[in-house]
Amino acid sequence: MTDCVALVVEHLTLRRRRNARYSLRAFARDLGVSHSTLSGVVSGRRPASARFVRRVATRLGLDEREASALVDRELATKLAAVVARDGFLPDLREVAVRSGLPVDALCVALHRLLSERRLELTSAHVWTLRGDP
Amino acid sequence: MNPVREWQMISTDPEATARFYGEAFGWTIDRANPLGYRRVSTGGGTPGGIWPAPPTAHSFVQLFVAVDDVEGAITRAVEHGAAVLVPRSVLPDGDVMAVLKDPLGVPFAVYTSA
Repeated sequence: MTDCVALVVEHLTLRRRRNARYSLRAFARDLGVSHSTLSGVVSGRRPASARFVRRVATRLGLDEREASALVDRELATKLAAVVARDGFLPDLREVAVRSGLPVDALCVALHRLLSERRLELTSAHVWTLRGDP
Repeated sequence: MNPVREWQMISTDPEATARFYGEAFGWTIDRANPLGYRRVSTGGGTPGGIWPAPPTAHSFVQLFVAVDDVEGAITRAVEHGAAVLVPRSVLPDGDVMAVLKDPLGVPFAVYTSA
């Protein structure tokens, strides 16, 4: 399972293999995203938004289904990161307000984390992550 | 014997599903809970809920079988050929639930109500 950053880095590496002078700025232009956003996402400084993931996935030739799956996976990882924070309370309405993400999208992400055994709903007030977010 | 006490629709467009059943049959939806779960009241009939499916999945209906002991029910179901999709989970309202797939591949849930 590839995440968005891995996909971007893989394509960047391929392009640099063909042209050693191919820059991140040129890659951002080819992907139709801003250089600062791409740089932030690749370095892990900023999370990839759903819009960013979808655009990058489309530009890199993923079909609609693959692009949606990539967006879903990114969202699940984002939810896992929220759960990992100190003081997390298991309330998706609260997470939605703070993150700006729709509750329904968070429900889908929650289901993914549960079915992939990345998260355990241990008690009514405690959610336990398994492994890294 | 374990009764079916609830059902759940998994929908790629939960808002449209809620609107349709509300308008066509007068079912009411309540989302005031920590998962923002659309609880459906059917006016004295079997209650249920609507849960969003990923856009790439399809929509379907799941039966919720009420049990006394979720772990025990999982063990029995697995002995009879079921597979676990979502392990035992304690929901924020205190309900305990697991989602399984029956031997023919149909997903269903076992749960105890808080």
